[in-house]
Amino acid sequence: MVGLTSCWKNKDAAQIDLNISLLWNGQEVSITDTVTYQGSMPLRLEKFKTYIDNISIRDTDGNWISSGSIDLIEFMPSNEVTVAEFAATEMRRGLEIDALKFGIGVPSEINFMDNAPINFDNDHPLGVIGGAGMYWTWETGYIFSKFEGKIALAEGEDFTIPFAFHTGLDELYREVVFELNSSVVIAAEEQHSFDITLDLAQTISSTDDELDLINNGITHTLNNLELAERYVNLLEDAWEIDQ
Amino acid sequence: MLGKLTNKINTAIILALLFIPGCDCCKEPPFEATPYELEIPSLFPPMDIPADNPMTVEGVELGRHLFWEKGLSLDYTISCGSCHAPDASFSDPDQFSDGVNGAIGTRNASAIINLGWSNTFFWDGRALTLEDQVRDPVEHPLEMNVAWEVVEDRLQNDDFSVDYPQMFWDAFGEEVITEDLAVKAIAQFMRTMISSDSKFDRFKRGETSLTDIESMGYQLFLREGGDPENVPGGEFGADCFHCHGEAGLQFSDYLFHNNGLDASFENDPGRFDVTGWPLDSGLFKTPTLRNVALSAPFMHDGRFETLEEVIEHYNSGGVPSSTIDTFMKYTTGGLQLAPVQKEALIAFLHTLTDTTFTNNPDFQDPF
Repeated sequence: MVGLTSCWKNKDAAQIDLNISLLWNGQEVSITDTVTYQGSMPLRLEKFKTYIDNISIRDTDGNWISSGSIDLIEFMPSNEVTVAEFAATEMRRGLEIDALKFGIGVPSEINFMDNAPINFDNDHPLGVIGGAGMYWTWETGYIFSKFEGKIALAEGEDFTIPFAFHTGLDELYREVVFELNSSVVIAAEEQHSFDITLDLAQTISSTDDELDLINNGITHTLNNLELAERYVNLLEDAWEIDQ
Repeated sequence: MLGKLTNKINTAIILALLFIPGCDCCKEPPFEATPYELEIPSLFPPMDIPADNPMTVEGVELGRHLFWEKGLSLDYTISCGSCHAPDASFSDPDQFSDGVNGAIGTRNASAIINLGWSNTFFWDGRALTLEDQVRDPVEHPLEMNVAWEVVEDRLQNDDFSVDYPQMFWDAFGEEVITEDLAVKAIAQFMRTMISSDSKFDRFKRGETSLTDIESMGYQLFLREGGDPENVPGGEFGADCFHCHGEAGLQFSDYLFHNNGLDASFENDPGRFDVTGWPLDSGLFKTPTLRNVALSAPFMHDGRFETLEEVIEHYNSGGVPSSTIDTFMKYTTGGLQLAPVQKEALIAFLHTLTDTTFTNNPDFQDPF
């Protein structure tokens, strides 16, 4: 597992790092790995990329405190770190928190801004270069997340069947909430890390729903809204915090 | 006699005083280049200019001369402009470019257009700055094939039709010509090569409208490909937008894709040669579609001579391979575009033609 060095911009603030790893049915995996789909079919993981929006923490009185962060993470090929800072004014004496959350997607007020990417610096996650390939221009604004791969029908055969989930639209913005097993004190001038996992197998199959990647495994949201919605619902539940 | 000698000594002292360092009246004028005011077109993103290479009028002018300077090749036969012809939107109309001594390149020379917004260069993205991109062809054995040390010496000492030492001084305030300064100047020039006056630009600015067939092509461009009977969500579109998105009106996602040209990549692994990542085998950078009607031939190896051939390739769905892009319709019979749809698509692509750019006198050969 390769960690990325986070950039702590404001040393007065409290910083939270989310160290995110990929799993497939509970086993650590990387993009490019081949896993097994439906018990026998090789499935190659090719891309997972998503916006992580507004990492927030909840104090023990139930108040949510937003960082206003937004990051675009892409697994190249293994784990990723995304970072949020909370202003020192909120954290000076230390704040006991019992939950954290983030959004998967781009906030509505930005998503439908006219020509949104040109309003950001090029290397900003929402900019033309920093958000390369994550903007549709028309109708749906930003692509919130991408998950792509290919399936072979049997061991030893070529990977010929593509699947791809490109999600967008305000109504498909999802929040992932982690209730902490035990509260944690976050304080100014301190850096805290949480280990998060995303089980990609659960984004296509859970006890609630199972997607058919062979016959209906491609969506760009508007062209297959029903599938996109099922996928983001699964994606929302596929994250866990290791605490 | 003694009086004359005294007078001579006094004169010498006065003259010496006049030339004492620090005497304001004798200082060389301080170096001061003229800042270049780069105009960013409306609906375009900001352009990042490297802090160590601010643009100046003198730097851009020097860069233009160096871009067209054949002394940057081993045998003084080719310049950057030799493979980046203005009429072809500063690309090479030949499939592969001629280098010095009869050498032939292995990829088609890309169009130079709006590169100030790019963050990777060459078909495989091996250069991460425009400066590094400029550095490469001079020493490349299949291109200009000359050591930068030789070029530095030539520019410093040879008798060119322009006074390069003076131009470098004017641009950078440096008397010694270096590779670093030369590539900075050419990069400055290339950042000025902005296209923003195609019919489509004017349409987006509300200055004109598209014809019916152009408009039909634009809608196809933006629509999902495939027959919905075979492709979930298919809309009988042309699927161009996935890679040639309109963000910032650049018609490139600045990423790398395998668009289904070949079943294997032994001849040219593309992006894999840079990253060593198996999933990058056969991937090449998405080129802009600006001036695509002028910049034939197409693809990294220039295999297609016409837009019709390009459209037909995508219409076919491409050749399956281990890394083909998931959005090529290789498993479902291609895009299945009707002849009139292909015609419309090509009509739309022609709206991206900007001859104001290709004819801009500021970009032409000054020699």
